[in-house]
Amino acid sequence: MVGREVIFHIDKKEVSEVREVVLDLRSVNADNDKGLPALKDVSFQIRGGEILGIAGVAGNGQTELAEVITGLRPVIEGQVIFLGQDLTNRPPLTFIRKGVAHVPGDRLGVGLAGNLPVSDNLIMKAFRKRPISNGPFLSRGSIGSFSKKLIKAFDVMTPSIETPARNLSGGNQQKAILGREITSGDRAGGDYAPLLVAVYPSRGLDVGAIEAVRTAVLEQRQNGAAILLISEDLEELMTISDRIAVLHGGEVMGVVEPADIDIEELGLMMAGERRQ
Amino acid sequence: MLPFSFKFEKRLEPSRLASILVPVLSLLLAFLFGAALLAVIGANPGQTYQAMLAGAIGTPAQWQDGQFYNMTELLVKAVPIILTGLSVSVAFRMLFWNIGAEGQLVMGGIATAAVALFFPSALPFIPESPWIYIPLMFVAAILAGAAWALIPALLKAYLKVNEIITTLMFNYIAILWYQFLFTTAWKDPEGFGFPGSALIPEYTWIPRISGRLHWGLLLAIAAAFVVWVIMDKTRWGYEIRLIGENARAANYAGVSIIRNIILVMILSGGLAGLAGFVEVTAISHRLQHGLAVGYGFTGIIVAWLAKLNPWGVVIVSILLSALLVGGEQIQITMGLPASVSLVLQGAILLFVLGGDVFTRYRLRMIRKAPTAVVAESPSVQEA
Repeated sequence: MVGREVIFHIDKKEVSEVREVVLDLRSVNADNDKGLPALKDVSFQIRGGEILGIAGVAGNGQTELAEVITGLRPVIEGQVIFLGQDLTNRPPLTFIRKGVAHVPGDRLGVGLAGNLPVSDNLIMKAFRKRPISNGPFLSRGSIGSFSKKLIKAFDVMTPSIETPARNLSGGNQQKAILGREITSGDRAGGDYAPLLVAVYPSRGLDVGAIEAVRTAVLEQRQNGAAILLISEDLEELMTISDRIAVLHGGEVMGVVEPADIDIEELGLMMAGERRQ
Repeated sequence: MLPFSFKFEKRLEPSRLASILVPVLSLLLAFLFGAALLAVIGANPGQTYQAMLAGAIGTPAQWQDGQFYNMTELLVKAVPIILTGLSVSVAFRMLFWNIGAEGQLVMGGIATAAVALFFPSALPFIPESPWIYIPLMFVAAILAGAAWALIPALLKAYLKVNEIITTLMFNYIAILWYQFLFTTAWKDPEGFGFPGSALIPEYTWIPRISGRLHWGLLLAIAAAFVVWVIMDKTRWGYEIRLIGENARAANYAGVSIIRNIILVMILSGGLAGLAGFVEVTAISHRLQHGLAVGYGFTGIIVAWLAKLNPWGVVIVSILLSALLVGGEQIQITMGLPASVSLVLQGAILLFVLGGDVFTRYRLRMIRKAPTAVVAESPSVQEA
């Protein structure tokens, strides 16, 4: 289907050294769009070079969790600490500036403006920075070279950078979003985002694209980024996460290491069974 | 059964040929439709259109005599329409439905007149020079239009009040205020009882180029340039486009929607206010009937026909004012109601917007594969 053998056993190198805590959630409570509690006392930490998988049946607070960490949803109680700084209830722009990358679950609803050209979509996070913007003005030349660079680096298949983003296949849309997000950080010394929040990143993609997405996520881990991976694909969570937190009814049922648990047990936790 | 069928499918990329051909054909269809209507009411469509054209741009005989009255009148009408069209198009670009350009225009006109009427006596130290007064009125008109647009913007941004209703209603508040001012509060005591304010001093008038055509035309074109730069070349324009295309994505990209609603409406209201400014300082020179004649609403039609493109606004405004001026003319020469031009205006809007479907979709003929006749017809077996 992709013209070559697909390898899902991706090399996951050990990141041995203990790195700093990138994201620290302290008893976070938040409501969903209907005003009902969606997250209840959610606490966990993610360190650099670590992938924390979030397992759970869809609608148990995953989307809300991602939105809280990216500033898109107000926190009612608790704190969101990012690299030692309290960012609770700061606007989305603050999170972007600090280097929180977000691959949203709803590609065309949130992640892209489908009618705008691919290039306009690729600069969504970088358009405030030089060389794309020069004071109040945008540089068309820089937008072109920036877009072409991203398209090449992340293997996005598109007829041109002027093509409306909605005309790309799901896999290419996702690769474009991923490329944009990963390179959106502007932390001194590194060109990666220190935190990547990926919500159902491989949902609905073909096998070739799934592999590309997983490889990119693991590459970020290698670079030292902290990664929050929300997925419904248990196999994906088991293969690439370092730890898995299970969400049920907006509560963390427990945090486990993939080696210590099998899929059946994980399923029980997703149904609401607690584990220490 | 036909051996082929038709399918209406979305174009992957907008076709360049269709984007030129379709509007032209739509325009022709609209005029054909108008011709049919004219025929129904018993007028000769050919003669009527000819009279409209002559009314809009004059005749070669007139040009030889050096008379360009019609053409300058056409441009005089186009100036406020360009400004309101730009005003509406910047707001529409982020899907903020500003239906209130008419009211913002009126407020701009009131502010312009207020500066010209009351500043000389209240603030006598300001030199009575056009170099001082015209910029003063210019700024006052922008501020007044922006302020009038700001109220619905704040209501929308912070309380989610539907802007279509508030901007529409604010038109009537503005118009009634303006009528109160020129019929009562600011009525010229030496005006022989006619409704209208006193004439504004001559040094506050925008000079004229030819006929009634004034330098406000240059202002309108400069405004189109500024809007084009903002929308096409700046970060702000990018943010506005992003909000218009997908507000959730814009929010996700860190673009503040509240801030942009406020800023865009200040720009939109300011542009409409400028339309009031040119109408008062260059045409009427006082507050009187004839300021709120629907330029704000024509601006909405212009913005749509121009697909929110600022240079398109300039061209469409000139075409629509040709229709309006030509329409006035057929009243005189053909004895037809001037509303014929309004009907045509409506038909153009309908056909051009309807035809737009063909720039985004295409009709494709699909041949059907020949089906096996044998299985379907038992008669073959019998034979």
